[in-house]
Amino acid sequence: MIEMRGFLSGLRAASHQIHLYPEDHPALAELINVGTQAANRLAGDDQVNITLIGDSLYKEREILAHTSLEFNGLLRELQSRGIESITLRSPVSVGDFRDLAAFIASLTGDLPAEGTVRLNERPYTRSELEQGEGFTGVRRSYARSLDVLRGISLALDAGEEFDLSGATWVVEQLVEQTLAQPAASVLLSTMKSHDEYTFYHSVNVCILAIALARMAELPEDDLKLMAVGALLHDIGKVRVSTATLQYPGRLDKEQWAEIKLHPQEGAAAILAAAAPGQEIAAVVAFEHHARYDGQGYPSLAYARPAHFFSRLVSTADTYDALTTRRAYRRAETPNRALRVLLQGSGTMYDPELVQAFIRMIGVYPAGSFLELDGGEMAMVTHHTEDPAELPHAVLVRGADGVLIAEPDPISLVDRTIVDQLSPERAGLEPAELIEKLGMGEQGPI
Amino acid sequence: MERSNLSTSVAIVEALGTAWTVHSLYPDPASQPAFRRAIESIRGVIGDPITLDLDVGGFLSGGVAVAADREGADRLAKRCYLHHVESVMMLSPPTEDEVARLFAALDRDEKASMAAGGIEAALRRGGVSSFTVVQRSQLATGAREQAIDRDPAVREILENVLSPAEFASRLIEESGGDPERLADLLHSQYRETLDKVTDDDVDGREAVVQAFVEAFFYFDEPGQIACFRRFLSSDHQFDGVFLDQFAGHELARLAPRLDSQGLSLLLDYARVATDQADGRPQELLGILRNPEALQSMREVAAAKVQERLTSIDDAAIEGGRVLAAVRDRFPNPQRYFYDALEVFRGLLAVEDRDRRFARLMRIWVGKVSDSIRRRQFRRAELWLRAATTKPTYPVHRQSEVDEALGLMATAELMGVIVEAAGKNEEAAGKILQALGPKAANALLDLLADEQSAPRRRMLMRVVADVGKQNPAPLIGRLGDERWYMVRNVLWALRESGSPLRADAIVPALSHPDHRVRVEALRVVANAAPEESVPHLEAALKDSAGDVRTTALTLLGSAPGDRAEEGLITAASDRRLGLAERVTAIEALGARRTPPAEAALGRLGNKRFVLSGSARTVRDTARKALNS
Repeated sequence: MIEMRGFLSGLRAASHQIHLYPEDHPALAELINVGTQAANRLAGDDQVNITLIGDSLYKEREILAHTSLEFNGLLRELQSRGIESITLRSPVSVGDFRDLAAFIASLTGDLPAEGTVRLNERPYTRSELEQGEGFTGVRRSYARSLDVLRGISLALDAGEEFDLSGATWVVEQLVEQTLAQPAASVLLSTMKSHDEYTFYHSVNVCILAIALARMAELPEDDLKLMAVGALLHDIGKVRVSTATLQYPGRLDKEQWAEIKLHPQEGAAAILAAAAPGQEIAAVVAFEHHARYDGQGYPSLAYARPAHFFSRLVSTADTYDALTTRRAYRRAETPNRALRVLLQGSGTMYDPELVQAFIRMIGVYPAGSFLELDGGEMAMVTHHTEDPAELPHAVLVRGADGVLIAEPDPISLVDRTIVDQLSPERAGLEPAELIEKLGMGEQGPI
Repeated sequence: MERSNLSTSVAIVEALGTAWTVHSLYPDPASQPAFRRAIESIRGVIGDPITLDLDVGGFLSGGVAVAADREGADRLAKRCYLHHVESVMMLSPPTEDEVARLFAALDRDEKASMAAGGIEAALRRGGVSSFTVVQRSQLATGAREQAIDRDPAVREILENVLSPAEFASRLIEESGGDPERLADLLHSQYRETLDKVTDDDVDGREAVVQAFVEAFFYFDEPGQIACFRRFLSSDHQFDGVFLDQFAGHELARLAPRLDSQGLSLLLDYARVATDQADGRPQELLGILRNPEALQSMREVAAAKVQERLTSIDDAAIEGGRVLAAVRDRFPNPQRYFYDALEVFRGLLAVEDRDRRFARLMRIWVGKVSDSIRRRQFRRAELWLRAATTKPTYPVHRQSEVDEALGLMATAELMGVIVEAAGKNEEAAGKILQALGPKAANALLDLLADEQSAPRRRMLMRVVADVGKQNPAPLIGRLGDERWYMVRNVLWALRESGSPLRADAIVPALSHPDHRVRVEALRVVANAAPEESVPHLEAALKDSAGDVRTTALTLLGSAPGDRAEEGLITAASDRRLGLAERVTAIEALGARRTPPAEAALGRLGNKRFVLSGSARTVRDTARKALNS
């Protein structure tokens, strides 16, 4: 799975950057080289077939449900170019990998038929492929949410009208799934995408906010209204230039001023689109950076404090943002993110919502890596809301530092958790393990 | 130990534990219901004085461990132990404020507290009388030190076997002068040594951190940079403690020497340590360069964060209450729309870009229009007022708002509103009022084209309502080419009751159509009764009988001598028709003034009358006199 993720990451990066750089630019050459190496690792000594059917990606006959969702944006691009399968023949050449990236980027209309990268050979029929989990339940809702956000984003970018019916539709599904499978949903919210950060982040925030509201027993009708706001809270970022959003460093004054406009941009867009009864989503978008103590941005021209929904979404927003790696900073561990929330509790964030959020997500949330007293490393697979109960975990690395091929559940009773590790420090991506363990759909193992 | 005493002690300790948790979580714990309930429960159980002793394991009562369920109680015991508290003697039921003062004293740094005379002194200064505290150091200094079984490495540090310079030299020698290797050594030994310090050995931990930090300052610059970077790139709490020992100016001195990744890590650290989550590099480095600012911020942040982090588990236990508190603050769904309107007002206040403000105006027009089309008049009215009532937009935007109001006042929308207003829909009327002159023009257009008489009457009433606020748009339509339009506008002006100057209406008095002239007379007489008399007198010479009759009727009700003179003249004027003269006579009869009666007497006393009409005049005058 690591090989597949490496290949897809490399392909995505190369196909996006190939527009920006001249053919002989060293940065592009580096990306192509890295991607080619990943392709060769994936192909091994022979060849590998990657097939796309619907929302799902297959490696040979094996469905990769989690990876399909993680690279949902790339899959959509492949589909838009009519790609149904990619066959990588070892050794994949740099030139063929470059051609593949150029094809996806619509810079070329064809690939050499006899190359090391071949399209649409379709070695497997649909019936031959494993029709395993695929996109069902919460994964499907997640993917549809991404699609809706992409659609709204395109409409806004083109200055076109849109309505909130799509957002309402997917939110109803997310609510249904999160209420039915809270653990699986929260686990899926560990999904990150550097490339489509805002969309994945928005869905994650929506899931976390739904889970928090569900735990507090917010009535379902209100919960859905809040969730639309959560899903669209960052939609105003469509108006922020990509250069600023993806700036690989701390923002300067002008860039920061541009970013700070996104709440009002989002609120105005939502207000314009909202049918009667849906307007509260605009409140969330407008106020999600308003602090509990009245500071923050934009400055609120009215007497009331930030709305309860806004404070709830702000809590989830901060947590997900901090636990996501960005170009300018590392991902924080969940503990560290909770620490930031606690640090701002009562000033930046609603203290009771912070406490409730900690109760919901747990000190050791699903998807977090733990260093144990014996030197082993475990990944939390499930956190219960009962604070007296230890989280469920699987052992992913032994005391000898060797990764465990087939991670097994481990009891944390009588074990001391020495530290919580970020994915970077752990050297693992939760997504890889979630795929390997077949989690994310049916919840904890 | 009696069982009842022990159970009382358990109850007190549990309540104190709960209160300590609340104290750790809230800036003003005494105001929290949970805190108050906890103290209330202590007051409920305390009778005779009770002494709670402390040792490393927790609270004791009569030498027996008090088994409290609350983790907060354990942490409170540890905190007391750090302050060398040997016992707490509860003398009488405490108040919330007294317990809060105890906790505040325990929150202080142990050394600072001791330097200020200890906790007991702090309680005395705070006027606490319900309990007293005995601190161990005052009785048996050094006794605890002997109880801790330390690892030799820790003991070596505590006993200063190596000076910081010697310790640093040893590390440098082991690293062979390689900065990265030196960083590895310092980091790994630091972690290993701290791992050997037992949980209750505060002095040991402090000595270890201090020894390593002091050694760090004996390294050359490349060594310091490498070490610093190593600690910055770690998430481990022990490494955070190491970094926390550096003063702001020391961090700032190292900052320019770090590579970009190291600087980024330093800024991240500064962000977390100083609660400047959104801070930019310049701001953060500015804070770092100000040792006092950084120190105070870091102390506040560190104390709070540490306390709160250790409270996480307990907070979870308290989670049920937290959730109940969250539920108490669920928003009222009926307010959602109003909350959104406030956001719209907020947008109008903060939007300073011309094009985006214009977009807000388009949204506004759309919302009002859409609500009207949906027949949601209350919603439309609220949307409308969101911008027009107590405006939040800057004054220079007024013209744009006016323009937007004009866009709402289309004939189509006005038609919908008028229909609703005709059905006594209150909100529809308010929309018309809010739209004001903008609505008047659209309504008058509608009025001009309306074929249905009942709808036309309704429209006229609505126009009259709008004219109450500002009759100018109506007056502006008096030049309309269509006689009926002018007549309807005049009717609306009269109905509106607005104060008018007669000269605004005068042109209509000479309108070619007599029906307009009739209405114009009514408006003039209504708006300016005294000023109207010359116009009414002149109207008696009008070729149209309707006009003359109307003028006579209006003269009859007009005040003043001149109006009466006009009536007297008219009553005798043979050029007028009989009916008109009768009208004048009846009006004089109604006035009952001496000149009127004299005039009536002259007419009624005529002995000889030759014509039937003259007889009618005489009889009418007599009747008027006698009635």
